Amino acid sequence: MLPETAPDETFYEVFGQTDRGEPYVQLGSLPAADPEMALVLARELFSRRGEVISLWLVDREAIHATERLDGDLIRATDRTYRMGEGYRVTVEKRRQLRRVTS
Amino acid sequence: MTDEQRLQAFEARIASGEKIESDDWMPDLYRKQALRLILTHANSELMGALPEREWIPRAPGMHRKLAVLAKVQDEIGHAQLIYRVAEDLARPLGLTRDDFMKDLIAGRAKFHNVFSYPAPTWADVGVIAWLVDGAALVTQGALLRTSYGPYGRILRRICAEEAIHLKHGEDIVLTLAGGTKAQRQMLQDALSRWWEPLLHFFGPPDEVSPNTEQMVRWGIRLKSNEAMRQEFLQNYAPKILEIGLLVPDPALEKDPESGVWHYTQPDWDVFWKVVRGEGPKTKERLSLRRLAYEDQAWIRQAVQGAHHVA
Ligand SMILES: [Fe+2]
Ligand SMILES: [Fe+2]
Repeated sequence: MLPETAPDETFYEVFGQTDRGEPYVQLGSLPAADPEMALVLARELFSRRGEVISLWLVDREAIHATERLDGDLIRATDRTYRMGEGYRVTVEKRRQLRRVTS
Repeated sequence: MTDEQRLQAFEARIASGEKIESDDWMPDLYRKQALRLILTHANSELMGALPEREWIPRAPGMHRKLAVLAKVQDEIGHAQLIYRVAEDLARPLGLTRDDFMKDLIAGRAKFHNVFSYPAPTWADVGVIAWLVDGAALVTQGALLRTSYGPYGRILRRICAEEAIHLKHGEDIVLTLAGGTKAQRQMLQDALSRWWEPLLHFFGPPDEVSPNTEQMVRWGIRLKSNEAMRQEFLQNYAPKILEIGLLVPDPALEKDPESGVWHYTQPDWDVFWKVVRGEGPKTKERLSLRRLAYEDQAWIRQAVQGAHHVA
């Protein structure tokens, strides 16, 4: 029997790309002894049907993450100048200009 | 923040449809309830591979053999993905995958009742893949919106594959239904055998346990046992009857007014016996699982280092 505990376990986060030009998306994670083994396992677990054309594996410890931000709080402040919706009036402005110039 | 405030904020997040992540604060009870549900699912995927595995060498023809092989591989893959989600959830409780495996092979862990039954004929393989996976898809589909984010995400992939299993099973069933008299009889016998376990699958209808109520309140699970059984009957009973099979329940009938399916209650004592680990094949399958676990320890060692994997 193997030892009870797993001191050398590494968890890899798995990212996959469904097609050329597409972004890598997180698919899940898996435990493996080393990156080579992790790649073999990731193929078996996440691309049995050729769902992805490429996989990235990242040691979970290597990820730097933000705190989870409060989206509501961010949206509560006025950010219309950053957003496309903030410029919807352009259509109306163009119409007005046309009236003035014609 | 006090625990009371934390709990309020947590419940407000769930109420607004936000998902809980593994590194978020959560009540201890939420963690335990979610873990129990998720582990039951993972164990079921792992144990569910066993009845069909028996049929890999015996499946008729190369195409069917490959299809059963692929399905078994999928189910083991599902188990791997779900155990991984469980591991993150269980970490603060000091539990690892090794504990999950030991609990399972010692008969201390739960898995779905249907995997305690034999699959004596090829028709059973078709009925399992069509209707057991169909039943599983009803329950897993309901869990896609679970409040526990990592579980919901991994379920999307799993449900997509279950839907393929269902087609594979339906194809076997339809082939037999269009076959010889003996083949049709074999199919009918398999359906008659599986009908009661299939009704059991969703659990007893009178679920009034505070445990379940809390799980629904926290959005860990979303539908009642009876709602899921009704969904199953609505989806599959007409398809079963349409191909000329008989359901071993003369009372089975859809109320044209309410749309509710009436059926004879299965013997729930049988269900509880299976849950207690006294199903016809429970012991045998668990010892097979134990054998695999012990015999393949060296492979886990090679693949995972000292870390154990199912
Ligand atoms: Fe599965
Ligand atoms: Fe399946």
